[in-house]
Amino acid sequence: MNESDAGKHLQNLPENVRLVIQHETEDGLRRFRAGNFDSRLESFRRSRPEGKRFFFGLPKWTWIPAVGFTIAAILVITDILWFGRTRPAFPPAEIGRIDAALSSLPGFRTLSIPDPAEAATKEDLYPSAVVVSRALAIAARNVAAGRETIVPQARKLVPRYSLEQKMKILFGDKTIEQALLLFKDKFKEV
Amino acid sequence: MIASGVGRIHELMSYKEDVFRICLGFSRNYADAEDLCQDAFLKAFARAGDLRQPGSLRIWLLRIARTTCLDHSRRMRRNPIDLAGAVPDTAADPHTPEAVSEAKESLRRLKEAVHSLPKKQREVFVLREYGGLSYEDLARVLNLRPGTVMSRLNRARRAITAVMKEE
Repeated sequence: MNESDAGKHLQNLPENVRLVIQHETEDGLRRFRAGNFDSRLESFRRSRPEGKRFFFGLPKWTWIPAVGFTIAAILVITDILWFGRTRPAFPPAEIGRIDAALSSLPGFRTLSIPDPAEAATKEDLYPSAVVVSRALAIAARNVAAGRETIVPQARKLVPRYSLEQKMKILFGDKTIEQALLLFKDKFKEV
Repeated sequence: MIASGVGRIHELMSYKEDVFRICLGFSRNYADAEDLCQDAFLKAFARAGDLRQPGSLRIWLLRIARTTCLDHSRRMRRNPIDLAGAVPDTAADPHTPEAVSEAKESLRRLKEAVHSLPKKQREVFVLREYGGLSYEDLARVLNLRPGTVMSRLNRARRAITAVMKEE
C-alpha cells in the first residue's frame, strides 16, 4: 500500500475507530521499519535446515517410506515369531477316543429316542434328558396329528419379557433372597 | 532455479509491511505482531517451492499470514490481553498524560472488541482495516464471494462500532 493510500480503506469506519487503527498501524510500521527485521529473519532462516520440514524428527519426504518400512518390519517379525510355530497334528488315535467319549454321554445318546415311555426305562438317562425327549415326542405326535404344538391360550398366558426385564426380575429375586438370608436367624417371620 | 528462488524471496520480502499490518491487527501488541510476521515469512520460505502459481505470490503470502495469526489467536485465547508495548508513542497528543491515557484506553477497547468478534468477522475486519486489502483480494485470500466478504465486513464494523460507542 502506498503512503498516499494509507487510511483510505478506513473511511467507512467511525472517526474514533479509524483514528485508533491509524495510529496503531502508523506507530507499528514506524517501529517495524526502524527495526532490523530483514537481518533477523535472514539469520533465523539460515539457522534452520533449508527446504526441510520436520515430522517427528524426520524430513517430510521420508516419513511416508518410514511408516511403510515400519509396517513391513512388524509383519516380518510377526511372521518369524508366529508363523514358524506350526501346531502339531492331532493324533488320529486321540480323535477316536474323544469321539467315543462324546458318544457315550447319556443325554445326547438318548435324545433321539422317540417314545418317552421307552426312554424312561433307560437306566443311563439323566432326568433332564427325559424331560427333553418327552417334549420332543409330544411335539412330534402333535405335528403328526395336525395339531399345534403349543396351545394358543397358553401362549397368551405367558408374558413376554425383554432381556432387560428378565434380568431385572432375576436380579430382584436374588436381592430378596440375599436379604432374607441375612435376616434368617434374627426374625421368626423370615 | 537458484536465481528464481532468490527472486521469489525478494518479491516475498517486498510484501513484509502488508504482512506486518495484518499481524498487528490479529495480535495483541507490537512484539507479538513482529514475531508472527517472522513466523509467517519462515513458513513462506519453507513452502516457496510448492507454489504453483507464481503470479499470486502476494495472495499466497497473505493466506499464510492469516493462518499463522489465527493459529496464534487459538493458542492465546485463554490468556488475558496484554497491551504492554502496544500503545503508540505518537498517540493523539503525546505531550499530555491525559491524551496518552485516553489513547491507551481506546486501543485497549478496540483490541478487546476485535478479539471478541467471531473468527469469520474478525479475519475480514483485520484483513481489510489493518491490511488494507481490496474486496477482490479479500475474496481471493479467504476463498469467498465478494458479497459474503462485504456482508461479514459490515457486521464486523457494526459490532466494533457498537462496542466502541457503549464504553
